[in-house]
Amino acid sequence: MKSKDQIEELLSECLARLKVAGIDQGEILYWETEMGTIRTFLNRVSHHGMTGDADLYMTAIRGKEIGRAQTSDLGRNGIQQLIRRATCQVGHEASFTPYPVLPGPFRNLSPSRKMFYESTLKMSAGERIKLIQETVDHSKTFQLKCSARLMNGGGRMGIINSSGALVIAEYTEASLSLILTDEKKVSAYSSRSSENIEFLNKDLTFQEATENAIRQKSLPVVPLQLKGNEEFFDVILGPDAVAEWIETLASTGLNGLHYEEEESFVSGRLNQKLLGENICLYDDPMELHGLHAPFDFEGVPKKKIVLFEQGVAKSVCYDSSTADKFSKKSTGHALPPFERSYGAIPRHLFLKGGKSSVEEMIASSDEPTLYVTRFHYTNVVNSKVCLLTGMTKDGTFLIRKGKIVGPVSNLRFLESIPEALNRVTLIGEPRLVHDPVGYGGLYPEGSVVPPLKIRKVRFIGSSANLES
Amino acid sequence: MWRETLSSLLSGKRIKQVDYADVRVIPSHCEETLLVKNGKILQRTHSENVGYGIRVLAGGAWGFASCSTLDHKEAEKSFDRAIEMARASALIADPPVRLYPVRGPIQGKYRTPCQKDPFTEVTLEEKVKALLKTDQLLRESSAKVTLRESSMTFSKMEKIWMNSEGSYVEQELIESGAGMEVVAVLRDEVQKRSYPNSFRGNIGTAGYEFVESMRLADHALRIGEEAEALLFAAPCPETRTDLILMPDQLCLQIHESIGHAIELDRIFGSELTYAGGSFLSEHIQELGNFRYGSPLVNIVSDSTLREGLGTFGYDDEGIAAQKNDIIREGMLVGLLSSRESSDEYLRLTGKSLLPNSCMRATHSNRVPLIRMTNLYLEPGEGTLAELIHRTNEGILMETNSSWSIDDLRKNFSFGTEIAWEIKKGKRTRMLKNPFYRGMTLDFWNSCNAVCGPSEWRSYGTPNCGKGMPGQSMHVGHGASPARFGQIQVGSQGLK
Repeated sequence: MKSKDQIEELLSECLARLKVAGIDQGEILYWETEMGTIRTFLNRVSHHGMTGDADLYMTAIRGKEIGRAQTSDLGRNGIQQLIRRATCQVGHEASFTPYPVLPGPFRNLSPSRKMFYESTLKMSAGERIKLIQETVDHSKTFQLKCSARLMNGGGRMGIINSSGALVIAEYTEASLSLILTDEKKVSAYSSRSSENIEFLNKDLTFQEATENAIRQKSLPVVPLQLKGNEEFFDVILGPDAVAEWIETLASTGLNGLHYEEEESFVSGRLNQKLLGENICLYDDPMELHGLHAPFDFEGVPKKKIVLFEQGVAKSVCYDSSTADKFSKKSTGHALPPFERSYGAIPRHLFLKGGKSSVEEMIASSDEPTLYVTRFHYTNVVNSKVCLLTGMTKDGTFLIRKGKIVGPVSNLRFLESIPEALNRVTLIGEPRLVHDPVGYGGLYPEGSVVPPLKIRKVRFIGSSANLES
Repeated sequence: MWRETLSSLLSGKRIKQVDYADVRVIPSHCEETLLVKNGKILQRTHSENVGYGIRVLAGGAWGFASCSTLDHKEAEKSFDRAIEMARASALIADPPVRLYPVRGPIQGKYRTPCQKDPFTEVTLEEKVKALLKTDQLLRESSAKVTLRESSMTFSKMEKIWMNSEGSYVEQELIESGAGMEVVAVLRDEVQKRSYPNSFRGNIGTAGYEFVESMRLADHALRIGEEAEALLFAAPCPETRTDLILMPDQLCLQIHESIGHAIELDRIFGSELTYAGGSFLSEHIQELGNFRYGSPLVNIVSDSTLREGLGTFGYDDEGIAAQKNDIIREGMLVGLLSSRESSDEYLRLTGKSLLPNSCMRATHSNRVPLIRMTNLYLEPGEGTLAELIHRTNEGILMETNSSWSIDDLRKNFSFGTEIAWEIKKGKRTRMLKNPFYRGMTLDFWNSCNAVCGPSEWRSYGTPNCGKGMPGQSMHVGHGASPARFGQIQVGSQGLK
């Protein structure tokens, strides 16, 4: 990877060349990542690879016209073409919205804590295999098969613009995910991530997945048929399940663009109580248990934003151009340059925790209650009310009279998340949920969320229903 | 230079350290996106990606490395990294990976048929002008329309592929696409209509003529009016009824409930840590004897389909594009496979299943995986009007708005932008917020009518997710309107 000095030199040279090309304002992002990934399925390796990506993104503004270009060809010719494409004139100048002054100046933003660990970046192929071998050996002890994903890597990112921003950050990440299965009914998941491979708690990952798997193996499957087209259950959601709901709620409902365009459940309702009083949701890139990012993709410094305080909607998120359009201020949530038409999305969510353990939540359940560890393929059905549907997966259990009585088939829920967050009765201790496999680059983000107990969630089907 | 440098790796001393190797070079991959929103040019982006990926098989295990800097030293380093990964993995390779033999070496060249190259024969100004004109028509369509978006997207990828068996393939793949959507708002009610499909339209392997053939302007007024009308429409009732799906929605149904389920790597479990498995894992011995749908259901995988988004000359294992039956008269007769999975299939079942040109990677820094090509429902008979006329009571749904399916591809739920009630053979009132749900095998077995060739349409799906690191593949689908008996439908609104 390029050193910080090399990145600064490259960015400065590109900006100088943009100015020579006659632009009024310019922004350049350099983003390089290096990642090792190993995937296994049923104790076998399916993929083991090293990928390196390095890209330059350029935004050129001249008059009202704005152009964006990207290249992974960082040779002299590649950069020349990049400038040519970013500065190419479309005509139709009147059809561009005047772009605001780019944010800045910002310099040398220091991370609030160490984000880069050489040992995480440089983990060797042999070290990865050793850890994977441990997952296989561990699962064999319990007559299970392991499908695992181990990822380690890091990145350096630098942003420069014509308003005097010049910020560079480096970070590393390691992530281990396990799915333990047997021939028939068991499927149990656990995952942990950290910026430091030394702190990747593999023992806890093994333990969590194994407990889930053994619970599925040792208890009889409960044939749960929904009564009619739908049935309501109290649920205990594990952190992975909570993160999926909260992240979807945030990307649709707390995106400033959706808010302003009246597509969000928060639209026109700021400072109103929309969630339960026990719900405090922040975007906090400095949170101790989360992954840290010092600035957004425009270089704007990140800070803690209160999204919901005791259920009252306090703010939504903006990048600089959306903020300017709607007379607001950037909250430091700009997306990568090519994704900015989607608005601004909080990517470091922190849902304030409580004191209940999952065991206590289970013990408190006199009524039939479902313990859901994870969801699959959650999607928005109606964005205005944040109505989502999706399936449970990797361990769904029925609780009766304070005890888990057995696993049930995967179930389909249909639920408005804001409404569900008005029915939270117990809250546990938060932990980081981070999935590094998005389609963009490796990036330090993720949600720190607790397990929740929620009353009367709507379920509309089961994977065991109906099939001939 | 690319060719020489990478060919030398496949013939030099390093090749002796591996059982097999292939190199995929992307000397150039340009993508352009234009987006006009409410009369303003919101996005104009151009990307250029270059690089290469090296895949080696050593000691029965795969290793992969990629790089975007092509000089001889870097290429050697990448090759060595791939060997290092494979050798490390070989320590636990049980059973070892083997490749199904193919006749070779393969020598091939392919270029997407293209009348008007979107990068060299159409100016940026011309494209923007067309989008602004579309936007103007959308603006005039309805006073209730508050958001208007129209977009175009283009891609041109040069790809060189070679392997240690002496095969060499060159391809130039061109894609063009466009679409438009409107949002109408009335108090808390938000309704959306799109053309030619939701999520930014339709894409095909073709030149700019594909965009021109969509005739966006001719449909602008209609979608604006429909979005407004939806604000005042009745919600789709909760009931079991006959359901007619229009091709745009049926394509996604095929994608989710057939396409992913028949990927052989997924059937074997290799996607358990991300995309999920397949209910067909339990039926792997039953190919040819497994009923997937009613006798009217004929599904084909076809990477030769004209303008299909999953059309190419050769896959990333050098296998030539081809057309294969997947479901014939309701019986499952084919699966999507690769050289590795075909060998595994032979080992497990004792039966042959040839690798059928489905291995593709989205970028040079990603490994090829089994991906859908163009998976479509073959047409049946008659027109949509005749089908509606033959339907006593039912609901017709069009244009996807949401989707979800479980990890084994059994239990699904889909929402669409619009629906109409059918009563006594006539399309009657419009219905808003429709959705339907069901179980894969029950659904396909309930298919009781498929319209004929004149109603058949194809759509590109540019966001098919699989793999880690993630890959968003471009695949294609096609269908005529079809009817399914007694499906659970309902409304996406809150209770």
